[in-house]
Amino acid sequence: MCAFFTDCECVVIETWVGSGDPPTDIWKFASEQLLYRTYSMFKKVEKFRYFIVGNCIDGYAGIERDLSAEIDTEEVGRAIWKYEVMDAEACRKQVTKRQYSN
Amino acid sequence: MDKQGVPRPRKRPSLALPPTQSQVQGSFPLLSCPPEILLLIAKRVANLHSSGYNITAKPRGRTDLFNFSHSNKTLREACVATGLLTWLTPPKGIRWPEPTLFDMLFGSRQFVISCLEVDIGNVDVWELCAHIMEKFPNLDGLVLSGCAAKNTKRFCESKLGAQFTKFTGTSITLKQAVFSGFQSQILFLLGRSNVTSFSLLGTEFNLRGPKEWTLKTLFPKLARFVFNGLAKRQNVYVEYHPDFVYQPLFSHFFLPAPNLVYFELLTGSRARLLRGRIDDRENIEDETNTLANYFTSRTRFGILRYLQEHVKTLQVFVDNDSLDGPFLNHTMLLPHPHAKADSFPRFEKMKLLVFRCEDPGSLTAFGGTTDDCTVGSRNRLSGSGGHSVWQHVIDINLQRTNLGSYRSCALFSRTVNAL
Repeated sequence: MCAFFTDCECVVIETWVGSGDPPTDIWKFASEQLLYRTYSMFKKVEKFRYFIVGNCIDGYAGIERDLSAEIDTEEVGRAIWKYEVMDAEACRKQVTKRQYSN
Repeated sequence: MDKQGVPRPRKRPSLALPPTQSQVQGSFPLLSCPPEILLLIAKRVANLHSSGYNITAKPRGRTDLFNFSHSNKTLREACVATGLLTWLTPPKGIRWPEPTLFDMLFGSRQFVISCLEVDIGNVDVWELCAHIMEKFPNLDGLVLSGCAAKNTKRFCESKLGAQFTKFTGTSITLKQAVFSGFQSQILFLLGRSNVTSFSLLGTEFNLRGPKEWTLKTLFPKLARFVFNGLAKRQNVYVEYHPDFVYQPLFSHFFLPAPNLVYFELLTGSRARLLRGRIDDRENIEDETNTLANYFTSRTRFGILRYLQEHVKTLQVFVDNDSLDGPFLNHTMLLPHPHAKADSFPRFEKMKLLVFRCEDPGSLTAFGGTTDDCTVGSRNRLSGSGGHSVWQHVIDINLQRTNLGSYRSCALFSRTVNAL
């Protein structure tokens, strides 16, 4: 779906209220998985920047892609990107900024 | 007056200063309870399974407030004042009183109604609904349910039909409604020029046969589209038209495409895996081509293809099909089997892509059917180390697995392009 909407800059996985925190390894997992296939198809990833998990009641957590860093493509079959962990308020701002609330 | 009609002595208005908090607590014994007790009481009230009001729908996500409003008149007034009970739904199976009684109930106060639900299949409520629409000309939303069946012409000539033409609101919802080509002229009665939000919830369109309108966009200013597909595929399966079942809907009502900025999709049916699939690579094609997967893919991918081909303004896409799988292979999204990824039409204004997930733990879990539940794919056997959830979130799989679906997409694309 990210490849289908390839120009999207923010991906949110909205969890059920009370379903708990995202797994601790999800950011590393996302950084390894999220852009790999998109990159392998398009040989570039332009706008994608934010990956956020949570909901408006329990709060959000997420990461922001370091746009200045090169995507590491040296390892065969992997395109790993550098990121910074965002705090809950920054995540909420990014979600509401895009006029999404549920 | 008490219940026996005996007058009670009137309380004198107090001339003293406003009471202190301790005085308030003293006069209301309940407030002197420990906060935990009050919270328990509040929780009990919030979770009441009340029968509800006869003509108001419980707003989604506000059931607790609704129950509070039901427990006490003052609370009810407060809830009404904050706009909680602004959605009117004349009930089914009840002979509704004359509109004059409605005026007695609602006419004496400033009552705000933002949305009216009309069962177009229930002739008994037409007059009342027409009266409400006349009474509240600034009604912002209309919800249509049911089926006009053989009363379509009667509806168009009724007072309610006349009120539909005066509608100036911004939101239309079709909820568990049924429309044929002929019955769809009811939609064109509506004043549609201000409509920016359209929800299609479990509604069936059977648009074969002659149309009663020239093809045009139903809502020219539409920006927000919520689609909840039908769960019962057998109801909409048409043997001689096995292509995308919602194709007539989109080609007859939504082309040229309005400038949509928001689309929410719930397919309505789910993909299915074959039993015993893990150990058997021979049945990958069979799995892809099951009826359940065929129905699901033609709805889901048909809509995505519509967006891809015709909507350049999309900013937010919400995928309401939960991330607990199974998932369809996204192969069908390719314009044709040998298409290159960078030749796809792009959504250059996209800002946000939303997925729904019941169990966040499943996002990184391996084992069971968590990571290997993509129709027509076997991650573990292929040793790819892939994860179905992430394949769904990320991928357009370039493997070619289902020619039938390519044909369907091509057919749909040709039809809509021809229009």
